[in-house]
Amino acid sequence: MVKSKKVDNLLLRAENVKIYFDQRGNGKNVVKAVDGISIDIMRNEIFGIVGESGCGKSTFGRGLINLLPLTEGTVYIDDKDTTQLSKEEMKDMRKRMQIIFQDPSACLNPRRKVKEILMEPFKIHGIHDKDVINDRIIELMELVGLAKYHLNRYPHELSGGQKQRIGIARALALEPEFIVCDEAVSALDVSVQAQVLNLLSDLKEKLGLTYFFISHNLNVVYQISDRVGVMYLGKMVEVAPYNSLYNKRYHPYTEALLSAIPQVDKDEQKQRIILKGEVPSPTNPPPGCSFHTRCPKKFSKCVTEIPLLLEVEKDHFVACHLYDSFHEIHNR
Amino acid sequence: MNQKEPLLNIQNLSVEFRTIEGTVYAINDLSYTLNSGDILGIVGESGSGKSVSSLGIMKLIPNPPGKIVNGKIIYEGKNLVNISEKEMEQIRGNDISMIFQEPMTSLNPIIKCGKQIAESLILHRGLKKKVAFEQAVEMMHSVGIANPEQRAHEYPHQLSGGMRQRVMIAMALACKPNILICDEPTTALDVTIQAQILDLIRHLNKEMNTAVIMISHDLGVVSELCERVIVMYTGCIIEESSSQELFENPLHPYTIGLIKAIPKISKDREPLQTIEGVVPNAMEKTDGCSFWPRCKDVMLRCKQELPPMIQVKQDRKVRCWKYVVGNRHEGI
Repeated sequence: MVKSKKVDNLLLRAENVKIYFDQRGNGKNVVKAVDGISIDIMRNEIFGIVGESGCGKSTFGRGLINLLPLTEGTVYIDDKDTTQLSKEEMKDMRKRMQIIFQDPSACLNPRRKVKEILMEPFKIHGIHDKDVINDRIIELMELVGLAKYHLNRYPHELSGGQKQRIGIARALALEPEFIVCDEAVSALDVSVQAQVLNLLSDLKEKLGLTYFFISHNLNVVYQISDRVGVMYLGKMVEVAPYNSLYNKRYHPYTEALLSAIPQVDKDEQKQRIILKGEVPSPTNPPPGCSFHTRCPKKFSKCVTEIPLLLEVEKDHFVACHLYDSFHEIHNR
Repeated sequence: MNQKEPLLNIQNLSVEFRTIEGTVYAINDLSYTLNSGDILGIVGESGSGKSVSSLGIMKLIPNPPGKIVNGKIIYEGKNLVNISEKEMEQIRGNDISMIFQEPMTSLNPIIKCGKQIAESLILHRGLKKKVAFEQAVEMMHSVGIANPEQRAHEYPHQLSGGMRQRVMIAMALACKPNILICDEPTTALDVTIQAQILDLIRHLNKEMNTAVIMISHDLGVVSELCERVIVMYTGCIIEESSSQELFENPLHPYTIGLIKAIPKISKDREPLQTIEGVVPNAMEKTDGCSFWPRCKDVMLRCKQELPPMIQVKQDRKVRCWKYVVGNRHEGI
């Protein structure tokens, strides 16, 4: 499995995480948003995750920082089981993990000035020393590349990029270690998106942060991540370091996803794999490999057996029956 | 119609929105032509006026506050700016149709899909209800909806996002229009579904010889689909070119910056190049080039005079002083 032996640098370990939504409360119509994912995230690493809408990437991100209860499985942070923490311990833990949301207009209180928005985390965590807070807020504004006068503005007076910077500053307020970026640049225009992506990279280096970076855009994820995970219908189908994924994409879904991205560069516009049909409902996922209904390379085993996420190359994991024999060779 | 006459000819179009806070100059002196069978791309970031320009063609700009203050939109010898609402109704949906970004908000939620498509056939072609419905089903079939007979009896909420967009396209194409305006038709869709829809638009363009105006913020989409591209910034066209040349050798500093700001999936990862600053407020009219505050190659003249569209080659125009003889920098 992806989780390896004991690693020194390990920050977060998710073990067989399942998050189900029981819509009616009667065990029928259960949406299996996240269906058994295990990953390790190293300190100071950017773990990028891609997938289409409804694949469970945001749900998984929220599960990692305990914003959603896990149906099954555990998340360890520094060997501490976050599902077993008391309320007090959890509050302490929250300082260490933060989230940046997609739509900066929706996650900032429109009736508060930027300064008040940034003071909120300190109030919640019982830091009341005004001088300390003020110094920290000014420091935060500098970190995210905004000026002091922005502190007296309301969110509607800021541009989309500036609002997202406030969202980032708020997430950084309590000096967290781990940040979930949930489509953090998706609502921004290309030129602003590039600014914010660079800012996130710089901050990671400067402050030694670790990101779980969620996006539907493989280009963006590829640009920023150290390792990339591809999700489909609540399952991880491929996990690899970004350069390994560039060299070779094993899973037919990853290949199709990549080829579907419209490329600006005419040389890159290769023959496109157009998948037929749509993502099946996560309430009633297909048996066997959940991708088999759209897979151009499916064979009989795919319909009946669920493929496991196996290592086909060093650090490159794939859940696909095409490579079953690969795995055996690799392990010999 | 004369062979040489373009299908649609927009000349010096200017649109303003008069609001309490001031006048927003949404479109300034916009001119372009569209020939039958063309696929023209219009790119630009939010607020560049790309959507307003297409709403202008359809005469769908809400008045007040919006107003076409200057210019002509000539279609089949008629100036659409001056014709009555009654005449416009004959053209809208019949000769020129439009599809929008969010299919859920543009479809009527309480009317069955088939009936919605049949509406325009009844209105413009004077067909009987039953015949119109049969044609609607046929139309649904040709845009790749499986089981059209059954789907025609379903409501929009019963369909997926991609299917809804197909219904929108079927509706837009029901009367076999000469021009199809697509305003960010795939922005709300997943990449694999986006690939399907773009393929469909390309196919319909060839098959029905419908001219397409493709409006998008995604340079990749435009690069793959369009033959000719217009780049807009603050309501002005700043560059016009064949798509091949534009992406291989962009001329305007804004276009260059925009292309460099897109994350690419390539072997050697480099930090993204950004365009400093933000898009200026559309309420302020500057004398010079609207891009100069963000431009790396700014000259004195840029701050004083708005550059004209300069023809650098056949089919290649750019609005930048760099390319005026005497001011010329190296390398066109």
